[in-house]
Amino acid sequence: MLLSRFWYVLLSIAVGVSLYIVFLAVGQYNRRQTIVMKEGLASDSQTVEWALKIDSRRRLDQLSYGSLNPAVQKSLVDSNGAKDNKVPQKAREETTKALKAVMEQIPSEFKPDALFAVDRDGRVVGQAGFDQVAANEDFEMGGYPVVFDALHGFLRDDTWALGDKLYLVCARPVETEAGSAPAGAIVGLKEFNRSYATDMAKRTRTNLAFYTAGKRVASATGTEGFEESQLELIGTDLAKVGDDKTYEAGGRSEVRMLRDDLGVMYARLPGDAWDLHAGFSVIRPKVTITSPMGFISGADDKDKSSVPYLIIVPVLLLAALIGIALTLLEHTLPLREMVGQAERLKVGQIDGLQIARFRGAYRGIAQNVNGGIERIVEKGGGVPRRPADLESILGPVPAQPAMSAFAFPMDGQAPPPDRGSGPNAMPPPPSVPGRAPPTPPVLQAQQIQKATPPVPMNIASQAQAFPPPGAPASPPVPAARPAGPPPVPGRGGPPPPVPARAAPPAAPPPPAPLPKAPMPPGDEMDDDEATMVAQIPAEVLAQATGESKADAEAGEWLKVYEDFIRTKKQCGEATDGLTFEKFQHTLRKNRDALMQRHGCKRVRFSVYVKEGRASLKATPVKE
Amino acid sequence: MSTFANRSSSRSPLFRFVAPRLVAVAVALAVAAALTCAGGVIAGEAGKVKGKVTGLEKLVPDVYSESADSKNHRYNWREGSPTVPAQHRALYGSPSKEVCLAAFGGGNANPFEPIKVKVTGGRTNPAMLVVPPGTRIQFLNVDPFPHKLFQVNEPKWAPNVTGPGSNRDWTAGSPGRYEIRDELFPSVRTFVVVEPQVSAIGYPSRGGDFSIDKLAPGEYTLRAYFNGKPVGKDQPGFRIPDKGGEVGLKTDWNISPAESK
Repeated sequence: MLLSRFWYVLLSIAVGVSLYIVFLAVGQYNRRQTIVMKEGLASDSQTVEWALKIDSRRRLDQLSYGSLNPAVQKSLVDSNGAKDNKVPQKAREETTKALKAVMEQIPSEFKPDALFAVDRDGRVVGQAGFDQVAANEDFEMGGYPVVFDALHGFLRDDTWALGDKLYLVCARPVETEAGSAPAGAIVGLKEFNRSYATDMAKRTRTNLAFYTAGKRVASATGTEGFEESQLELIGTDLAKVGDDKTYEAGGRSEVRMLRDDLGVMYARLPGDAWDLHAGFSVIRPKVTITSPMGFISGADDKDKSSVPYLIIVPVLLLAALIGIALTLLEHTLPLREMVGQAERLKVGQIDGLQIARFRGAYRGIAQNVNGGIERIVEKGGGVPRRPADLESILGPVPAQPAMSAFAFPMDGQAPPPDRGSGPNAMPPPPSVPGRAPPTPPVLQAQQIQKATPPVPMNIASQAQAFPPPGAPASPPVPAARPAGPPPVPGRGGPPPPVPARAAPPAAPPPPAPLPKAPMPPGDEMDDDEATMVAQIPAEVLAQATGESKADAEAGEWLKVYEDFIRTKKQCGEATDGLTFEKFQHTLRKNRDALMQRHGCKRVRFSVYVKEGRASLKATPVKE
Repeated sequence: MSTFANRSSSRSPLFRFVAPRLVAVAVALAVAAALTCAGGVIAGEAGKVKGKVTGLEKLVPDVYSESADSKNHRYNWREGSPTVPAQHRALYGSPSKEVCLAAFGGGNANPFEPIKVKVTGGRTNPAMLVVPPGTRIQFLNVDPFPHKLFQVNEPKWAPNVTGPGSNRDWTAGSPGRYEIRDELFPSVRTFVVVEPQVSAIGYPSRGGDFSIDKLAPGEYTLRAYFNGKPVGKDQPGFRIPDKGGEVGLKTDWNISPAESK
């Protein structure tokens, strides 16, 4: 379950990091949007200002139609020359008629709302489009700086706030002859009304409002999706914009927030209206995201289509597959194995769970279950199964040092301790056909010392070396026999035939010192003392050095045998009766059992010392 | 009521004949005396002085020079017409409205008759006045939109809306220089100089010609005012004879600011 848990932790970290990043993204997005809105408003304000300048210039140029109109020029000259200091009526009529014609000449895009012809003293000689002064002979315009400048030979624009209306004013001189002072001026007025605001908003793609004296006079939207009613919000803010020092000094305010999602920037209009705080404002919405879900709700089809699904989906599937695989490996498969074994246990195919097929916690469970089964069996009077060891296979090994090598069992030897109890008690051989007895990889030779009395054993009788529970103890093993396999007293059976090649010599000569057997890693063994073992029969050696596989194995086992004998001696243990044939037979049996269980090709045995006694370790090799 | 009626009916016919005539004579004498005092003409015929001022092209109103300065945010475009000579592009004011020529007598003068000042066209007409204390000035709005006049640094004459066709009075107080402005039209700047000894005022034409009439016999000096301040040198004294008549200045009167120095 370790990998699954690790995967869960990884996924949790990934989810946490993702959420963290998304929340960070929300904050960054909103911050960026604020900056974008401010930069956008500054850009809008600048754009509108430039557009107004260009528009003003073009309107100024269009006034050439009036300044070059002969009728206008003549009327102005006549007015300047009037003796009674009054504008002649004839000049008024002719000028008004001429100005109307001029209005028709100017393209509609730049056509002014009103047109005036002003004489040198500033008196209005004629007008078109401003009929409220048609009968007002006192009305004049010479005091306005823009008109004053035009009367002195300047082309100029201006802004006026006349009543509650705001005007863009352009004026240029009317010259009758080169080198002389202007005869008068032509003045055009264009009101900042809704029509003008709409045109300007569309041209600049902004949301625009003109205002004067703290009141909005015209507004229009030039961007899609922006509600015009939002422009009304500047009404309450206009009274406060005067507090903005930047606005007062430079004419353009900082970005002000009408709402959390609506920004505005004010700019004053150059001209006489500057002092009246007349100007224009541009408004922009700020797109904010209040939560990570806003990214989803605010996304359109284009956003969704640009998501790299080819990356996301495989990553998602891969993560899911890894998770499923890990849970399958660590949860489902062991569970299934346990279910299967439990079913087999239920029908009697096995006597206990096969611990080696489990890992981790399942192995512990299996061990506990097996332990429980054995305890129940033991309570019921049966002999509990115990891990097989070398003793159970080789039979009891005499504990007395007086026993000669391979001369066991010896008569008169004290019986071994009770095998049916104690932690090292061996289970009986498996009674179910086809069922291998549980053989631990380590065969503890020292257990032999505690086993049943040393009874001469052959291959066939090994299974009988362990009496069933309740059976009488075997007689003591006699002392070492000089030659030949020891009989099995009490068993009644003849001694097993000993293969010729494996038969020990009747009187084995003192064995020559054998080369030191390789020890398993970690073994701590004193090599100073040479081990003397019985001489190996030539047949055995011949078998051991043969080219066949069996021979190679026999040779290997012979080395193990020699090593085992030497180690036992070094540990001060008796080696009497422990013949190579027995040893070989036992190893073969173990090998077969292990090969059947693990499906390995061969089993390698090695010798090591455990708790001061020589032990054998069997290692399945699958190569 | 009945008692008053009874007393009247008891008067004699002679009284009823003489009394109305005495009242008429008394009223006539009073009217003559009042007219004499108001006009300043105590005795003799009223005279006038004529002459010509020069240096007008040097008198540039502050409001227009300020407006021409690009630092004051008054325009987007301002460029001189290449066909208009430079001397005509000088922003000199309109003499008939902005240059006031005042005649000073020997003693304090009575207040002038109320003076009507038209407010229109981004300025007042006239924009420069010199009056004795007590003179009432009526600012008449002849524009089709409201104005909001106020006296600079005088809370008592604070900005107040003067609708189209309406007027607002201002009365000259103690001697000094006063400035009237319009909160809605920054180009409106009217200067009133209150001088106790000013007897009459006049305005020159574009060419510089001027005449000041209604001058009682006596010694006078002339002084020109522009932008609320005297400009040029005072014109040497002249005398209006007892029989009145027209007095002409022998030389042109240069009122350019350079002459002030």
